[in-house]
Amino acid sequence: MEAKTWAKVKDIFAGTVDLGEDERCLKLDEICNGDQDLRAEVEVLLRSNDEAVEFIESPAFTVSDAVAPDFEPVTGKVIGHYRVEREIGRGGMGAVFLAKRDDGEFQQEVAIKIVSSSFPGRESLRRFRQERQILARLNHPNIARLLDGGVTGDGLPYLVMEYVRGDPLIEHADGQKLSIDDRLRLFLKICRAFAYAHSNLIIHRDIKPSNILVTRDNEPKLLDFGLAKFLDIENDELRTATNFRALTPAYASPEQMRGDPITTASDIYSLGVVLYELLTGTRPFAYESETFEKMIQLVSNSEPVKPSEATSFQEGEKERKGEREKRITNSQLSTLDSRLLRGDIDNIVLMAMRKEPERRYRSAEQLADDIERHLNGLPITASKDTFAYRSSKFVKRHGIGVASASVLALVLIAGIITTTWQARAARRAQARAETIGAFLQSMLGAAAPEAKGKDVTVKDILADASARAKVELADDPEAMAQVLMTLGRAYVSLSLYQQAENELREAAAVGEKSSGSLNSTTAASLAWLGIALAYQNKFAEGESVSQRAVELERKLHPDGGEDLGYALFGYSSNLIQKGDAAAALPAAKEASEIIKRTLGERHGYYLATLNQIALANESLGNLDEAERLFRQTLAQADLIEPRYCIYIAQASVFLGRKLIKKGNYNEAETQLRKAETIYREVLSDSDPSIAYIKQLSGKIHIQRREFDRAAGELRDSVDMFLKSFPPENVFVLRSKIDLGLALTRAGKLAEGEQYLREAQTAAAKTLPSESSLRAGIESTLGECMTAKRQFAEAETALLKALAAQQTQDVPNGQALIETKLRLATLYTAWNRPAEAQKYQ
Amino acid sequence: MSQQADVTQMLKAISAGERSAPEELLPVVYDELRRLAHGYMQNERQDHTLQATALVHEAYMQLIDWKNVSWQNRAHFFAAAAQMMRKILVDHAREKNAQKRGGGLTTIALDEAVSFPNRRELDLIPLDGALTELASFDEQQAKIVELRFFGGLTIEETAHAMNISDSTVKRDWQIAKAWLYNRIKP
Repeated sequence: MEAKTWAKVKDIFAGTVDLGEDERCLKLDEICNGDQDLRAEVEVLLRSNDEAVEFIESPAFTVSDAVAPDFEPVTGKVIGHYRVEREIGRGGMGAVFLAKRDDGEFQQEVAIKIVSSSFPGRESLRRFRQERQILARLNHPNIARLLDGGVTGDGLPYLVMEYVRGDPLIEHADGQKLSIDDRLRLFLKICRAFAYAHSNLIIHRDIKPSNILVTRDNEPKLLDFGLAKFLDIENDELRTATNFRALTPAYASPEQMRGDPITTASDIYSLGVVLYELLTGTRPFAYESETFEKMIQLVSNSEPVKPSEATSFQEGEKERKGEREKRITNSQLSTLDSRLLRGDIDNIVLMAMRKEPERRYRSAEQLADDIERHLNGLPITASKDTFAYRSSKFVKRHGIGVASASVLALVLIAGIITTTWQARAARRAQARAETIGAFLQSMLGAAAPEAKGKDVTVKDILADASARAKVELADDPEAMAQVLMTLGRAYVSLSLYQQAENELREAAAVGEKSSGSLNSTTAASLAWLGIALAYQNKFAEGESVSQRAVELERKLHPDGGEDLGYALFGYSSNLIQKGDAAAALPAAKEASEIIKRTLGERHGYYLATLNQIALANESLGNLDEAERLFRQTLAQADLIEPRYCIYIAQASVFLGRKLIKKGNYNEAETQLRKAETIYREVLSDSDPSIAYIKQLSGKIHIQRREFDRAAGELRDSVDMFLKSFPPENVFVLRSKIDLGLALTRAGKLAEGEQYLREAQTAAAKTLPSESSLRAGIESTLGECMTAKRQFAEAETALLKALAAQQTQDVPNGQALIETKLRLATLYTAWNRPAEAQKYQ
Repeated sequence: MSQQADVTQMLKAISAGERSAPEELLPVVYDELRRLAHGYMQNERQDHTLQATALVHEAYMQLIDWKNVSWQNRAHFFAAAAQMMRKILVDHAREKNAQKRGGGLTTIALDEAVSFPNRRELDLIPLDGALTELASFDEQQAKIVELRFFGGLTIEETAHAMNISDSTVKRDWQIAKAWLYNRIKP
């Protein structure tokens, strides 16, 4: 067709397509003016248009091979107990239908959400069911109930929810012409509902005004709780894509935008944004056509305009705003007087929306309380951003870069300041808070890159802080002790036990010197020192330190506080290291009960104590009980905050180790791999925990007689351990024994011997000759020497091992049998059958 | 995901004027989409439209690093992706055609999925031909059909990708559909 003709045809088509039959005819007569070809052309198209309603409306790939029924047939169908009436909404994640239950006796309207998970595999369906069970627990008048759920005949997951008749939050508030106080009261209810959900450990993840409906009688109802998580259940590769769909940038927290782990703090942020919009009619950040990355930058770095100054409409939102402005003007712009927002409201909203999760309101309840205090004319707790905030800015401005550096510094600050805050009534404490505050501020300054080059790490910050605390806080020993203790705890959480030990030792000493031994800083420092010592295998001193911490804590807090839990935990850790599991068990149990009572059973530390009890049971030979406990920890995996996943990994490692003993290598490998993934996410790549996993997989390969692979894993393990521990550390030694064995069996005798000799020399420095570890080294060396056909040396080594293993308090059956077998092999190879006979 | 990095890089180069044409993007996009489409076509499960759309969106997600791509670059990308999907699907139809001994029509049973009048069957090969013909006198309309039908974009997304208004897309889509329908109806 000629382009010119086509242009005419198009125009006529467009001008006539919406007309009725007769009108169209008249118009065509008029326009075509006798040009029959033109008229025919247009008429054909108009006719085709009427016929081609559905033609190519569905994308090509749907009409391609895998032909699929659309949602349409769903209407009228029965899903579960409900008959689908009509579609009421549709989005990237699926469609929502209104459905009715009609049992004759009782009628109920529900909303059914069919989730379009792109490739629902068995795993996602399992998670889906699990999530559904968790959500079903939510029972609150302001949360739309999840009534039912399941999988449709087509294999699509669906949820049945209470059907709510209401308007989205903002429309409701504007439509009802609510005043600022009315809006706040409405929001209060919303906060309380969130507090309830959060206390059930359910995070919404996609809070926005359209997910909050308000009924005629002013009752808010929260929709889609936890739904975003459903969308997160796809496999890992698709996670980025899924995230992209499952969040609404305008309301998402900075950490959510970055794809960092999400906690309830993320919901608090989104609540802040919703409140902002509810009160000002504008959103804090105007996202236009920015790239996702730009949005991330914006939400992470720029400060929103204060609500009280935001009511004058910002550019870029003009269009949307224009409409709203009209609406509000029509109602009562005067009630939304921005002056009313100045002060309290500004502070409340901005506190909820702080960039750093740990600096927001700790809970939705706290946010609610503050709003209530404001409504009652009482002073609120939110204050303008002060020092800590500026410090964090400082860190950012100077590009310390490593996110964890600033986060950690902030955790330190937050920790110390809140501890001190609690004693705020006392003027001295107030003064101390300022001292500590000023100190930490200067500490962050010291960590600025110009002082140290670009690579300022968490370690550098901590080291600086420690050095300077000792000088600058010299005239306030109590403050110094507190800072050092906090640093020590931070080191423990970074697995830097030697540094932790140094700080905690000093913290305890300084505290004791200034306030006597019976003070909580000293007691807590000793509690953590015990833990740090246990992790370094210094259990002799560790036991007595922990014991002292327990005694002090019992005197200080006869009812048993959190710190007593830590003290007991340290005590039991040391006893386990020492091999006295029988004594460790009751301490671990008491620690566990205290932690459960003070921190709750979803807290990571509680899981740590469960692992401890399991370990003690394992050492006592109660293997089934140990396995049960490890699995109990693992079952919590989805319920705890991500930052505690390390304890899940721990349980996986222990369970893996147990499974190796049982000979169940495949499941053991699965557990180890799971643990390694978690560790690699949260720890450095050469962390001892990962080294330990490598060692265990080395053991598996030895069992499978894949000696070269075993040697590879074990070599990595040894190298990694050596990055954290000195050569005489038991982890290094054990790993070297396994490596020596793998190399021997792989036929690399010289190299194997070398590792075993190194271990032998190092062990002799610190361990008594009858220790099981030294016996293990000798025994393995015996096998190596036999293979080298240096029989006399082999015999010496094996007999040494045998003597030690036979006299041990807790005879290790397996090791003894192994040594005897090696002796038998030796004498056979040596051609001394009579002696070989003796050990067979 | 180096593929993602490649495509993102290329998009940036195109928009910076360092490369002349989006055509360079095509081979990379093609491989990935073919893999995905193939996986989808292998899948005999009863799926529904939403899932198919999700498939394409996922393919897109995997191909570029969305955080680093402006809307303009996305438009280049969508254009390339739609063009590729067209090629993949039509090639697939031809292949199937060849497999059927004695040739005959390549028809794709529509069942309940698309209510083409009289439950006729849609043949992608003539549609492809008709679309090429349409492009010869109205490139914009052909592009719209390609983005909508082969690329799986909505009216709004198409408008955004082509930098024209929604109403233009709607109007052109309507008439292009009518013309194509008339052209290939048996």
